[in-house]
Amino acid sequence: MTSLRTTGDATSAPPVVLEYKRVAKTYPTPQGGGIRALNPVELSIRQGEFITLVGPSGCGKSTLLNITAALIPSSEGDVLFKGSPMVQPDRRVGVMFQAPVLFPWRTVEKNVLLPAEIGGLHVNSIIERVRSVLDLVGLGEFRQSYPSQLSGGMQQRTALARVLAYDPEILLMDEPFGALDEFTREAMNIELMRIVRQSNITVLFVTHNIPEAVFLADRVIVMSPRPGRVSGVVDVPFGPLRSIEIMRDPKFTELVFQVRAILGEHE
Amino acid sequence: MSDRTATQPLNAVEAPAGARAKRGRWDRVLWRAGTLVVTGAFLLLWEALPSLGLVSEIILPKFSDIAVSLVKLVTGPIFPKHFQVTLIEIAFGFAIATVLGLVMGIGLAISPPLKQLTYPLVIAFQSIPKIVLAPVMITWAGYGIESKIGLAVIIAFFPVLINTMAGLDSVPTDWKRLMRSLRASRTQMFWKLELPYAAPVIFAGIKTALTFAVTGAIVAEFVGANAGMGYLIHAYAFQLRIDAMFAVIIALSMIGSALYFGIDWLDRRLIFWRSETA
Repeated sequence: MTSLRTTGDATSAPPVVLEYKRVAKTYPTPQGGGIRALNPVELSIRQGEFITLVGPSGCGKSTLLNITAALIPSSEGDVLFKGSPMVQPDRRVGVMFQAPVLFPWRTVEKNVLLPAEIGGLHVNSIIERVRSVLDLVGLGEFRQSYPSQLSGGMQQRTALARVLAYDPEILLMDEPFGALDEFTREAMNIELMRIVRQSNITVLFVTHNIPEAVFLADRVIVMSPRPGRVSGVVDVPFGPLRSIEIMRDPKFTELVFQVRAILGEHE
Repeated sequence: MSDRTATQPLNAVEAPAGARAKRGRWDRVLWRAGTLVVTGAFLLLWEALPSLGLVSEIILPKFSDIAVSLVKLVTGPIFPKHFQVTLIEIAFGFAIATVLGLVMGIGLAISPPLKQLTYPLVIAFQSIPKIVLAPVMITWAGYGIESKIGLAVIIAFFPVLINTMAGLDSVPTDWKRLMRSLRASRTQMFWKLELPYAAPVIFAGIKTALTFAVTGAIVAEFVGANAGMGYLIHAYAFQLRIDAMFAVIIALSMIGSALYFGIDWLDRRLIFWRSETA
């Protein structure tokens, strides 16, 4: 089990939006026992924070993310979203996966309109918003294209537009750019940072790339496997908007090593 | 089942877009020409073997004789009736098999208990070489078209059932999670994700069903019928009118091809994203 402080002081800091109360996950095995996927997690996340979850495979980071989205139930403990437990998926919480998950029979625009259709929103009431978000992610000209006609980066930007169009308060991202090449990924990260910081969206971002985790985050949650658990938290004091230049900062390198050290201790 | 893959290796050669398009057009022309040459050579061989006395004309009549028989058959008085009977059997057999396969496949895929309960039976039935049921169908439903439709349904139904189940079962977890994160209802999950996702696989099953329905109708006609193209083949074989028999076979193959191209065309229109997901 792990207990964690929250950063900042209570008077000036933004309100807590996500609270993990000893959230743990055990998967039952056919033999009747259980496999501990995640040891109890205690954590508070404030509005507008960019949190990265970093660790090797099997450290429970995706499990934690899926529990946060209420896509899988926790075995113990609760995730509180603005004070109430997340028992089912919430439309204020947007989710992005490693694959863009775009429906090949829908155009880019129709893919972005999918949440509206499912939520019973009138297309007319949201179409302007959808188009402006597509412009925002640089896909204005590709509204009528099909996913197969787009590059991997453009596909993920479509997936990003699909969550952003509905003003999520929280954005959960499970290695969203993991399948992209290094250059595209860097560009996507910078774009993501710009967009979510402007809209003050709280982000939980899962990655296994340590420099990426440090580059994006206000706080890096370091996780270790067997059993999955939070093994440390690293604050990243670079402010909300960053350029790739910070990677040259010795402080950046030191933070990367700090994360690495925490991971190393638990090998 | 995919006849389009035959042209795929051509595109594997990397070249600038313009040159590639031009080259692609040329390639297509060349391949068409090649196909014609191969078909021509085959027919020539067919003509030559009996003409040169290498094969007895009783076993393999000359292609030209068969062509004459074919024209005589198609323009003759008896053909429309037999043609119509077989076509009706195929159409009904195929339609019923498709609807039945879809309904059952969807039912079994969306209801795990139903699947659990009936799956052993489904597998057992599928393991029967279905043409052995031809005499059974004749006994049950007589010499008319009903028994032919029955066998066509039995044979054509399984590919639709199996593909519908497999297609609906193959939706990846993340895709379902996306829908759940949007709070999609069960109905929305089915219509907006599962059914379109499975559509290419389901349609492949439906295409197979069409070919199988033809086989089912003809086999049942062999076993016991008083009309239809299978009945004609059987009758001509008995009379040792081998050229007429081959003429019916060619007519059948033309019907089969026409139906197949029809459904393939429909497939490409309905499931326009197929090549892109594959």
